[in-house]
Amino acid sequence: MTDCEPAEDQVFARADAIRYVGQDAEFLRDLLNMFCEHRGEVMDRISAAIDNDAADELREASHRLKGMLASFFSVHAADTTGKLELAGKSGNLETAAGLFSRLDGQIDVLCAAVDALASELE
Amino acid sequence: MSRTKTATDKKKRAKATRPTDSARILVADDDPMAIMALERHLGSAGFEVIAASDGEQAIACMDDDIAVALLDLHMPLVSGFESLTYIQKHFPDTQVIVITASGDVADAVEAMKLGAAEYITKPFHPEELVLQVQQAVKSSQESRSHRGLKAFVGHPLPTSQFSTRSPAMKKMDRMVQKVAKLDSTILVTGESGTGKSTIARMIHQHGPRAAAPFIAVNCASLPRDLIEAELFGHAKGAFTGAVGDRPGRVEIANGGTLFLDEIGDLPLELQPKLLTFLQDRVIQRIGSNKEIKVDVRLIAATHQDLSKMCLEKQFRQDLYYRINVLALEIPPVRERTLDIPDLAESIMARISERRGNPSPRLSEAAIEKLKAYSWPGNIREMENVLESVTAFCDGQTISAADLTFAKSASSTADTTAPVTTSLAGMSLSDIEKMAIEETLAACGGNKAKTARTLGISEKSIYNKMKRHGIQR
Repeated sequence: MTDCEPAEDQVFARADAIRYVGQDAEFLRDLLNMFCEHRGEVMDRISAAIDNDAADELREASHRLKGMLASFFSVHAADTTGKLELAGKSGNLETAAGLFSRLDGQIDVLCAAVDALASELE
Repeated sequence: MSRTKTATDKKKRAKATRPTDSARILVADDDPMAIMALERHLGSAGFEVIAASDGEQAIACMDDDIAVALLDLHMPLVSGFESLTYIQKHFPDTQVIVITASGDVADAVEAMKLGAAEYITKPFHPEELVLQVQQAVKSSQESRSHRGLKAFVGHPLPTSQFSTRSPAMKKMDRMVQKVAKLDSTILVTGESGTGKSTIARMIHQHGPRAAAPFIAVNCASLPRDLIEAELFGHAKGAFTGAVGDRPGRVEIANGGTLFLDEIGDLPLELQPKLLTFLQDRVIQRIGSNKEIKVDVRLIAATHQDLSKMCLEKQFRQDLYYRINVLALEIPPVRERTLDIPDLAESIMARISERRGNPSPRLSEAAIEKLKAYSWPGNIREMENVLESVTAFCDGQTISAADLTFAKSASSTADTTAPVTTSLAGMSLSDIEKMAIEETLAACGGNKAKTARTLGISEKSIYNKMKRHGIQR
């Protein structure tokens, strides 16, 4: 693990995630596939909202992503998404681009960790 | 989704999983992962799940048979709040549980003040989810059952006076009107199925807090390890799974009425905390030192004998005195026999309305059989009996032979249960007349048995019946 990589328990609450899927690897994979299917669309919405300074749209899209991330009991990514939602709520989008860039990387790490957990449960 | 799609289209597209005879649950969320998880967890628990991806579709999917609707508050087209309002208005028996993201507790509290029964936060824990839905299903069934009380109380909400012929219920009506205005703590007692929660709602709606929330907690249906968090809430990180701050029911009821149903089942170890709250009117969420002032009126209910439980050290005496400020005892159905024909008709009319059939009538003999039965399950049991008989009855008249009762429930012990109605304020003559009439009814018109039950001779029963003008 490099300095930039968070510990696994900082990526997602592993024990809660296992409990959530009832130790069922197939269900966890289904959730992951579903997430990957919708991730692009929601991230595109957030990116466009930041580009267009559309605070309401940023709030709504971030809220939706936050809900999706909750299924994995994510820690970092959900926190960053929550900050983006707050930025949308406040109408101050100054920090949004930086947050978005960070979020994209956090989601990659999260997906890899969930995939690894699914393999472990199989 | 286009707004021009018809409700039928949407019903077709809305997905139903695991069709079984069990309760039907609507889940509405624009988050496909939440839908997937809800379908999975609730389906595994044996529920039939109908999924909708927005509020508009959720409304299109609603029907009378949906026991519980789980609504995400932030949905496109029609929000969760709008869907909640619609369901409350058009499907009053459907219990709504709102789904929120962690950190959106204020929205959840607002939804509960609008009438949602419960809220869950994402990510939800499967066991808690299933438990909450099971409880909501039970509440929905009770709500349907209590609609059988239409003969006694106004509709759609129990705000008007009782329509009753029974002296005991007339007295109950007067007492409800009086105590409602006092804002004091009330203990409602009575057998299961007598309508204790309906009486509690009536008191709330006639009282000074009518515009504020009425929050009900059934102490018997919550697991012991969850009840403290349910009542008093918790702080983030207070225990595993406490992913955010969560107010309890006591806090949500602030300004309104807290109804603790089946308080006799409140675990002994939690009773001091409730007592402290009733004395100081402040609560602390689990895991938090912060004191929160809460102003509620407490109505408690139980089918148990709390004074006996106090003697047996199963219930704290100090708490008993604190909640037993004003006491109302609801008489069981067998002591309101004069109301049974109206009550039965009301229940049958509602069943027929739901089924879209004309309401059958009860023959004279059937009415007498209903009046003679002991109704150990009270109104809830009567509804079940009539639901069954109207389903299998071929003609438009229900005969006595069509009526069947649960064998164990019609034992002699039940039919001779003592009269426990509050009699204060009635003349002795009226009390005697009522006792004879209702015991006669409970004994199926058998005068010898009635005399034995009342502890008088057969000759005396004939004399008293003649004097009171009781025809049998």
